[in-house]
Amino acid sequence: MRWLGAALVAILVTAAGSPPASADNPPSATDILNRVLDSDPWGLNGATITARATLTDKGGSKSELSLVAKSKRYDPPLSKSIVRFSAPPDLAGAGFLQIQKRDGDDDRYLFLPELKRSRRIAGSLRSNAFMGTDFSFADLDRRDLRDADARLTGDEPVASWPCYVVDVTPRREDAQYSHTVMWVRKDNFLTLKTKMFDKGGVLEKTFEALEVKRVAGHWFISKSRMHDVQHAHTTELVLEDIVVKADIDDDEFTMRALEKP
Amino acid sequence: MLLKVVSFLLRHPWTSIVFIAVSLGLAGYAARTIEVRFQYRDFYDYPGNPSVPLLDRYYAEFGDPAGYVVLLVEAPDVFRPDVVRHISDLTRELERSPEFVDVLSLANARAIRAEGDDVASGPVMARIPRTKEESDQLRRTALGSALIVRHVVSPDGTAAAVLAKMRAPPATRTVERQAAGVEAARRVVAAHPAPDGVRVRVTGAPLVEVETTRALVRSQITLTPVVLLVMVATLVLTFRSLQGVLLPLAAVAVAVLWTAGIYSLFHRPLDIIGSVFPTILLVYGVVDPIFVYTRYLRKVDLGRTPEAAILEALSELALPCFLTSLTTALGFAAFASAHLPTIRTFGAIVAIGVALSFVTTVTVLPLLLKVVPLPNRTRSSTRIGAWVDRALVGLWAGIRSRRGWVCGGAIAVIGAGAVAARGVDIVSVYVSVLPRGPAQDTVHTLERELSGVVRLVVFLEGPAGSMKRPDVLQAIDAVSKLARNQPIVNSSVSLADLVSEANQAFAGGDPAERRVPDSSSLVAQYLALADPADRADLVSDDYARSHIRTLLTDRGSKALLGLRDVLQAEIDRRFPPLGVTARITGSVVDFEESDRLVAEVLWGFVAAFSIVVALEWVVFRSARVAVLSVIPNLVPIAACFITMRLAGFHLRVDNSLVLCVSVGGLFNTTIHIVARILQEIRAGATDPDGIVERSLRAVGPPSLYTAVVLSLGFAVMGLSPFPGLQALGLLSMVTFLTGFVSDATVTSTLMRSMFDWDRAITAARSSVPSSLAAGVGSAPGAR
Repeated sequence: MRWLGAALVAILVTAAGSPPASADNPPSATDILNRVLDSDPWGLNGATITARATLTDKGGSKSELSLVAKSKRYDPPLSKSIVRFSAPPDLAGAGFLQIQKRDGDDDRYLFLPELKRSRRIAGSLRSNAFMGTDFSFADLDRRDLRDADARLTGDEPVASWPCYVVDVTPRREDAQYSHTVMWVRKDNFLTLKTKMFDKGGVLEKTFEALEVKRVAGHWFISKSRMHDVQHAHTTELVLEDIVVKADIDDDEFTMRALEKP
Repeated sequence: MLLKVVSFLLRHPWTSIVFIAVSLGLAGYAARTIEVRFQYRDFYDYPGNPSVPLLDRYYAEFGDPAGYVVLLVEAPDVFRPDVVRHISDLTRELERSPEFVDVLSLANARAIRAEGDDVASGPVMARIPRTKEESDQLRRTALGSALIVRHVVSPDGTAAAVLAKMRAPPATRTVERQAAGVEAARRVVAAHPAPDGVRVRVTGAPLVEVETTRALVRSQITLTPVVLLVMVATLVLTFRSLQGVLLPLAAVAVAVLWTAGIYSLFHRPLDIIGSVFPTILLVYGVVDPIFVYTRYLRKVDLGRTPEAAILEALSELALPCFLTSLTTALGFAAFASAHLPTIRTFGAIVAIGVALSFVTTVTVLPLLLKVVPLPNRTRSSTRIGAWVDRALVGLWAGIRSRRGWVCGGAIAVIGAGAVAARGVDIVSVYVSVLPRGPAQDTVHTLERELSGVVRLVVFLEGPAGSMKRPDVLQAIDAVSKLARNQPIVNSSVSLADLVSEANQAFAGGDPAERRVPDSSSLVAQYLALADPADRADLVSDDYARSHIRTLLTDRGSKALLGLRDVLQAEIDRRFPPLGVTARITGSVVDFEESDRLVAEVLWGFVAAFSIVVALEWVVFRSARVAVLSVIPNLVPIAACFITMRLAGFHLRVDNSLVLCVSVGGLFNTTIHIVARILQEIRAGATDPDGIVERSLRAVGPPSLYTAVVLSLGFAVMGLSPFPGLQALGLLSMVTFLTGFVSDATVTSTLMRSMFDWDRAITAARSSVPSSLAAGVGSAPGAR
């Protein structure tokens, strides 16, 4: 009878869509990291997202940035994205086109409506903040996770969700952080919390997923907060509208499209 | 009353000694907490300083420049690939150190610039240059940005800086923390041998403060024993016995230790000014014990028992010693009303120390005289004493018939001093306050190769968003450019540079487009493109506050304040119509306070001088004597200013202490000579020439010994690594020696010529009591 009971439990767990590995046999840190990279919390695989970022400085002053971003996976895991800003008024109409490259720097173009033409932005921007937010280009492109050593340090729930705790040390020379500690939800491998440590090993930023949403079968982090601990600056990013669409026309990701707000 | 206390102590010597020993233990225990520290902030950060809140707000917004450890890399060409790699290695290694929070160098400095038809943003160096072309490209980029050149690389490309910002915030940045940062940087340098022909030095404000603090500690460790040695030598020559050396020294040592214990209660660090107080107390404190011990020995020679000799000596000397201690203490206490805590504490603690020295002279010294056996040879008269006596007799014989010449000479010296003083300005110079060696070299190198450490900041405040308005940015640009054109300015940067460089970059690199555009949207778009970390260095997140950062060569407060006036005029013209407040801060606060401190020392000196003259008036009951005493004591001050003029010194925080130091010592001999003359008259003497000669012979030798002790004691400061304290040693020596010569000649001449002898002699004959004469004693030639 004992084997029958065990079999019933196994059937029930499988039917409930439990994590792919049992508690006794957790996935390796590398497996977890790969699943994290497979997830697409920002819709880079193909989506049109309307988002709003609220920036709060150390004095409590707030400013807002509104944008519409379209993305398309064109050479997995590479994608291209075009972002159009609608607020603040000074930035309205400005656009940004990014085409990820497998080797070397990504292609980036900026359109400033006042100049009526776009310019290619050269140089390594990975450690730069994305349009004044607390997200750096490196935080968004996740290259540092692809080329990294990972170590599973334990389990810890975040807001009652069971999570793996993974310590990731990037191998890239231009990595922004010395290491990051990630809390990865066991069921869908979304990163619910991340602590980023500077080159001196001191906490630099924390990322928290405040709300996750499933749209057309894809999990998105629809509300999140990035807090720059050292500069007391915070960005809260809300994905207000998500339209999943994998087959956006390639013409949408060209300089011509960029210059036509 | 005093004699009753002394009698009581002498009846219970061991109980008293145990009590004193316990008090010394407590004082020593308390003194352990005294921190020796040099931080410039100590000179201006005090409650009520109206400049500090603005400076603090500025530091809170844009960071404290004193928090950077700097690695200075010097090479024939810092853009050479191997040198760039070395800079990159040092940068990465420093980034890994927990002591630092941000590290900036050529390896990670960012700039926006044109690259052909593209706009390049981000680090000026994507990778280590491999070819000469890549090196040249890096050179063009770095030297083309106002935000990089003179900040992390010199204009000629022979020096580069790696700026490591200390993680500890200013409030917790102790000297130990700074030393840890400096050591961490040194370890990084040691672990990365520089390529051939490349030199890497650790510099920066933390190093300056650490090295200066260490120099202060070394000064205390070396100068105090040397001062003691000078005193021992003087005491050996004076008394020729072990007791004659040890007992006065023991009395003064107790006073110094008690004072140190009290100093700990002030909770102030021992800074460059405070560090002088042990020397002052040792030197001043030994004077009264010399007088008392001399008188004691003479009483013993006359056949008195030790106890009777002690009481008789004190009965004769307590009042003059009290008066000279009181005038000295009041002289220093005059500084206790100063605004600056550092000078206020200094004035208060030296006044307390001088008072305690008097207390130990009349308590500890008698106790020691009671319990320590008499020396075999009690007579203090020596060949030196005889020689001094003959010299004083000869001196008086020489000047008594040339009194007009002496007075004329004194007036001439005072006049020359006044002329010299007109050419001596109050000029605070940051660099020359620092000790010679690494601390000074550091600042000179940073001034020569980069921008220096002295900064004048225009701090701008307005409504949120105002700092990205084109008209405001254009005004900022104009003021910054005006600053750049001033001869002492090495660099001046502002948010306008960031916007101008972006505009030039988006205009394909056209130099004519290096300007703030008129479109507010375009400015906002450029600023949105800039990394917040770069922007934060120049403007607040809400664009309500910004600054123009001007770094300059330290040519002293006069030049700095002149620059401030030039910029202030431009600021007043440009910013009020824009609704933006622009105020100047930065090093100008330090320099203004340093100048103010010197001015307070000057006024404190004038106040103390006046107080002593007023006291003389009260004590001697003669306005004429009080006025006469002014002239001989102005002569050494005049000599001091003449020396300053000849040596090219200006009045600064450190060397102005000569006025504090001298005010306590100047009037002593004058008081003793006048008191002695009155005593002679009280004793029935009527021949003015004879009275003056005998007074001079009685007071002259101990006064000469005192002058020698004071001069040599302070001259020891010539061994200090601090240039200002060296100057203080020289000036003190000149002042005290001139003071003795002036008293021996001018005081005696003026008293002989202008004192109302007839009235004094008539008063003495009618036995009008004189409080002072009664206190001094009645035996002519007793001293």
